[in-house]
Amino acid sequence: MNTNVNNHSSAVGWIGIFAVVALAVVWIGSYLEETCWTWGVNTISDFGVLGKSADVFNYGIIVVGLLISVYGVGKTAISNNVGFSVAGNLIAIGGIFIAMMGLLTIDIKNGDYHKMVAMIGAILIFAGLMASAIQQYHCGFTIPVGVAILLFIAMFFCAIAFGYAKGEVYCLLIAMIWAGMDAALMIASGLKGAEQ
Amino acid sequence: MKMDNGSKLGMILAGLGGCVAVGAFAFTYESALTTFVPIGALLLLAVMFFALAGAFNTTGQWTPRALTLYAFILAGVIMGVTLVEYINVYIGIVEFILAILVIVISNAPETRRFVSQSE
Repeated sequence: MNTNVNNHSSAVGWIGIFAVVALAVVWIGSYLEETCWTWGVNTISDFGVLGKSADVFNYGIIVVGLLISVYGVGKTAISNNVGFSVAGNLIAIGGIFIAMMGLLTIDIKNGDYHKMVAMIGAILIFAGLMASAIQQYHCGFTIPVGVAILLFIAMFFCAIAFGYAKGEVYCLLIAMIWAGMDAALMIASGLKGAEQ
Repeated sequence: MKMDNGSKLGMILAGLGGCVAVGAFAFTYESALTTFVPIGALLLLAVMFFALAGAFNTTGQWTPRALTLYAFILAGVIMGVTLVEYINVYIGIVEFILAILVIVISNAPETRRFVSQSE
């Protein structure tokens, strides 16, 4: 039996939503396990080495990364446009790097490996979301593109004005909203190509 | 073509946003280097709001779609400068709500029709 992936754009969108929800659950779960994590002082990666929260965070982030990767692969598979295809590929590869964060924690080699995979993953997913927004603009969407612009500018300010830890946490929150919106748009519009 | 109520309201709200920014600038101003960033941010918001107000016309500088996207850029700048505490948080909230209202108005069918008219 053959499965036509083009009939499952909503399912792919739901995987994206699950990835965002899973990240939120991992974050909250890690915090409940280890309450010494402080907002604006610790980075999200600190959960991976903080006593009780380490297992929750490390296994959780692997699941989140794989979900992001599956979402990216699905987005590429159903897309008829170069923009969505590029976006899906970048998100899929970025998801793998995010999953690797759970294996390479910040206590390995002074955190160099962790920083490398985290930054590559974040940059690839960010680039994927940007590519998706550009293609949405060409497909005639105005409000989702506008919200993406708003989030991008807010992220830019947070990145340049806050310190490393605080900036990372704020940027991650904004990226979660952006990714959730991208996935929700796939569910709502059955986004495949040029049609709105 | 007669100006529709949406365009009038959009123009008024955007103008009001600019006035609020200029007012906040006047209250923030001190002859000290530390106020350079806040007053710079408020002046930027004032300029962006007044530019937005001018676009609600048949002789405006943008298409309806570009107007909406520009309003989103303005909302993003407001959110950014408020999050990083360049401006007072209450001023930021008022400005952000005004920007969102302008976005909503700029998407109304009658307003889009009016703005896309050329004289």
